[in-house]
Amino acid sequence: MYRYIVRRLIAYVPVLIGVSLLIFVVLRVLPGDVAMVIVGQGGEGTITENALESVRAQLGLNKPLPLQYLEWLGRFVTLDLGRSLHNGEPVTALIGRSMPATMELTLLTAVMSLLIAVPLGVVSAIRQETWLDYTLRVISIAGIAAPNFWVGLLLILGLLFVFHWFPPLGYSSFVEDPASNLQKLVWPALAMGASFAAFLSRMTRSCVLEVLSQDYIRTAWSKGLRERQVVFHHALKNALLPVVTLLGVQVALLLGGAVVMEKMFAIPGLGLALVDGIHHRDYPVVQGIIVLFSMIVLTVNLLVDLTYAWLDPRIRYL
Amino acid sequence: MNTNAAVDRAALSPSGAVMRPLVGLLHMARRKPLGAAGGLVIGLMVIAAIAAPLLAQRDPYFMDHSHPLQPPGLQFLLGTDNFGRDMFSRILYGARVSLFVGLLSVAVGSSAGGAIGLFSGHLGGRLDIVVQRFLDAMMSFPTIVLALAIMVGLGSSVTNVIIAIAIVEIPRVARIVRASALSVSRTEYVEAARAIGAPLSRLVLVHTLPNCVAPYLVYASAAVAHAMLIEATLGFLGLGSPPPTPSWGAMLAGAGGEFVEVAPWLAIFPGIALSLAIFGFNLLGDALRDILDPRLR
Repeated sequence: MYRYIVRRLIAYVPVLIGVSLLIFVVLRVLPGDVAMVIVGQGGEGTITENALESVRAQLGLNKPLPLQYLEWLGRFVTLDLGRSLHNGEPVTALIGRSMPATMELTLLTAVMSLLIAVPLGVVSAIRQETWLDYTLRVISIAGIAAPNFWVGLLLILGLLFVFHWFPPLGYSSFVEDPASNLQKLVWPALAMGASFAAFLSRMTRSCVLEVLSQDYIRTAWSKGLRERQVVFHHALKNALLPVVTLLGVQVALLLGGAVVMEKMFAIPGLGLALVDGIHHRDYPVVQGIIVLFSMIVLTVNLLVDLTYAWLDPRIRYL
Repeated sequence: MNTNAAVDRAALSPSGAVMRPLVGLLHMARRKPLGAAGGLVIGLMVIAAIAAPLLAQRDPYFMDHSHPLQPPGLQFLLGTDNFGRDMFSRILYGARVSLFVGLLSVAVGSSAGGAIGLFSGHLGGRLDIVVQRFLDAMMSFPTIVLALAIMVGLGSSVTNVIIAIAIVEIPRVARIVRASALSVSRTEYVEAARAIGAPLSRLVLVHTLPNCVAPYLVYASAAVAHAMLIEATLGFLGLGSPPPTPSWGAMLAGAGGEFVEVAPWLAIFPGIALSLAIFGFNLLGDALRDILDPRLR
């Protein structure tokens, strides 16, 4: 098992390097002259050759590219993420401030989508090829098609026209005021969770179907056990295993969705900071958050791989 | 098979060149009604996009300041937005943008990704491992985040949206093509071709490539749906094609905030259009997967 862990960790190093190269190329090389952007913020009159040169020297932009990359990498490894071009706040502080909201939103979404998807998927599987199954399947396909921001809009519309109530926007800390916090976060979590649940319910359905066709389930039926016992006690645990591990891998989707939801519901999390940073062309902030996101996704993928190997010993020898 | 004999006779006649594919399509549609529905939706969308200038009575860019926020009615079929622009025309023209961006970005991304996957899978070895790691790195980003990062780098325009989505699609297509290429390149007939001295280009193009097409096609329709979703999301965040381009996502962004209470139609119709389009391509992809599944042949 330890050898597998080590092998996995070693395999991740080139991926990390690839990620850093990709971010460096996209955010440093592509935009062209960052100096022009920075100097240009002072207005038309300040763009002089001297100003550009001094900014370039300051940022180290006149050094050869590979050297720039290594310096940039070195700064990231020492967690020096720079300061926001917009208000000078250290990027690490911005991230620390914004992270709780995003983490809570993502967690709440995952929980809600599981709560919706698993019962739907199980019912759809045990009542396979009935009208109930077809209806649920069409709903889940439609749910996958509907973009999460549209579901959010429809949710707000529904609340407005049925309950005459606009959901509160923004964010309040969980430790200070849990009721207000949940009130604000439940709506974006529901909107994101609904579209995610559509996908999860299809997965659950196919996993449960696969497990139900196994021999040990047939044994349980022939023993005369009631449906509830067969499904919940025997089948469900094995069927849910791939679903839960898939949830871990889908954290990338959840983070992407969080970006949109935070913009829509004005939640001051990492996603909103990213979008605002892009609007302001605030490269240090954008870089820092993107690197953080990819670190999170890679770490979760690694943990999921390791959990899978721990639970299913056959994988360790791949 | 309960085929109509008259139809079959017609299919074999000289005009059969037209009839035979049509009859084939009808048979497939009967076997896979959901896929046929998806195909129908997409067909309608394509027609709407191409015939937009004919179908739309009003200019989608014209701001009629005397009729802002009109509800759907006889004068404005789907209402107007806060600038007085006709929503029906905007949604029709939005179909153009979505289809154009969706199809072109998948085409570009598939060419690049397909080429990478083909050679990586066919040649194998250390090149394959290195390429795989880099593709894994690209796939470790949430797709929206990667597209956003590229848009930051390139700036706001329709072309850049296409490039951004194409880059997002490259690793996914590469992975699928590589999987097929890997297995095909190890078959005996490829080995035989190699043994009699076929050049690499021939091995790849004549032998490996055709066998990679089927799984790729299944992915491609889902990829177009995905591309349209990313384009809409970029538009929603205000970072996609610049205004006043009629993008469905941008329309949904404009529908929120203070207008959602007074003008719900702004939020409902572009969303329906977008969902239908994504729905259609997903259904088509599902049906293609079922048809092309080698286990069912």
